[in-house]
Amino acid sequence: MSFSDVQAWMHAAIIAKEAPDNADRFIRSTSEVCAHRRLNVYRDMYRVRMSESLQMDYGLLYGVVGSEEFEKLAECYLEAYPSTSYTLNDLGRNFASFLAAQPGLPPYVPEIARFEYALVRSFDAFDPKPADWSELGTLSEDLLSERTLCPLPSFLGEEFSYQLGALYDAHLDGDLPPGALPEKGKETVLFFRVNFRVHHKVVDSLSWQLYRNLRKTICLGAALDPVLAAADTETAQATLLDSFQQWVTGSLLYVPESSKRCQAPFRLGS
Amino acid sequence: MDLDALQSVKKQCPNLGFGVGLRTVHYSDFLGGHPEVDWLEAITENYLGTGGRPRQVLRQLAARYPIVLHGVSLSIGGSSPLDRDYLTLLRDLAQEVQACWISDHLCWTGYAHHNLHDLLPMPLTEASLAHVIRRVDEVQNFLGRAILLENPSSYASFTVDCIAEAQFLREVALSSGCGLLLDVNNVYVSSINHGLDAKAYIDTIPREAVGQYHLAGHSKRDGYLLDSHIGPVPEPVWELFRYTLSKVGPRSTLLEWDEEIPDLDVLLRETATAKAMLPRTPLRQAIVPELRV
Repeated sequence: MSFSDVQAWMHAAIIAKEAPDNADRFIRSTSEVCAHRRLNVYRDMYRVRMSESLQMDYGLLYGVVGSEEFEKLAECYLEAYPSTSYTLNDLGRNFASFLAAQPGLPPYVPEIARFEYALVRSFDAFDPKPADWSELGTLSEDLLSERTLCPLPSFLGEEFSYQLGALYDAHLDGDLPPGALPEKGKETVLFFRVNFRVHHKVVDSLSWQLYRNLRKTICLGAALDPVLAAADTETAQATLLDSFQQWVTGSLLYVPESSKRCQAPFRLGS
Repeated sequence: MDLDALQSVKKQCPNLGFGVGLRTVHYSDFLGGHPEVDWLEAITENYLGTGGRPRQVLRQLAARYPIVLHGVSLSIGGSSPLDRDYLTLLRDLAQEVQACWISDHLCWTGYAHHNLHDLLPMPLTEASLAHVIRRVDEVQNFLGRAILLENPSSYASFTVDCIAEAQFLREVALSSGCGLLLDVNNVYVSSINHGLDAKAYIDTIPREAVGQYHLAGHSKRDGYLLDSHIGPVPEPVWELFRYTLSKVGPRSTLLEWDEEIPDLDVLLRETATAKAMLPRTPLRQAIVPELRV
């Protein structure tokens, strides 16, 4: 038996739902601890480590579905998607889509997982240098409208069919009441880092539209003008411009290397 | 390769003094002040492939403390090919934080590209020995520097085993020129779990290869010890550490504490205990005879 055979067996024995009954063929027993128990030390640690890792990233989901259901879901998920990475940071990469494909689960379950994975992605993202807003402020309106600004990789936006922002805040504050469930209703949420801390903010439809336009890597005029045009009140326009200003001054946007000048410059607010 | 060749380990791994493992809960202590720690050991994987706060903190601290990178995913004994992407990220990180050295474990972590995220015990055979030596060589060539391999704690040994673990590590070090990270707690834990002589284990390790020590706590389970890195260093581990110091001599020493992590002050008190165990100078020993080791 080669050492590789031993490793193949032990790997299979650790991840299997039931422990194999041939442990003593591979593992030595002593008078104190038999081979089966020695294997179980590794089997148990594997399950605890993986489940705790998911639990750490999906704390709200854990709180909503409860520990028993969460453990069950985590075990099924890890069977379908065992870790293939050197890090546990990305263990939940497929968790939301896995949950969405499970029959009989309430539809808010994968939505919560998607919300919490956005926080993970924002936390770990590599960001280029943000745009220098003081330099942007010196540009003429024409030049500014030709510039392309794009959300940083850590500045993410997601659309949900449940209201999760407030529920997540309650979870963070330790105020999640027993049996709390998210309310149905469309919600658009932006996730971003400030001083390496991840935040989230529920935004209105105009800010959401502007965020999506900026993601298209088009020039500012083309991104902003149609949204401003859709804002039918001065208050709505002011709110939108406030959002945009916060993104710029909060260093959440950057100038992509591949940015092109607009063919036909737009005028901001025209 | 012979014992003389291992002198390079001593050069590459100077005695940095007494350090602690860098953990998230202590970030603010280090960023807000300058705790009296000689050096920091960072778990490599917590800083790879992430652009978030941990990496930023490590960069900041690297400007103030010597940093050592300690990995858990190299899988030097694994049957799957070495992960070149991982090695590239590791090399870049080591350069970025000017890592004093890089260490990992004598173990395998998964099979067929699935990672179990555990430090699994090596089947100790002639074939696995040749395999590990070959891979250490490959890693060292890729990284352009010698690495340190740590003796793991283990709960199982295999029916195919035909080499004692200490002898296995000795052969790996002598054949590849790599250094060893001697985890004194792991020696103790494994000696209890497998009924081995811990001091004989220490005696087998070539002292020239040892570049660093680890100290930690463990937990008692039904019939075995678990390397939990919880609580203060237990007395039997201190005793083995004293023995190790007398046989191998002082090396960079690091305290690990990963469960129920206390305030940094508690960790610093533990490192002070370790420091007090260093052999005194002959003059001081002559004046204060009870200090003789």
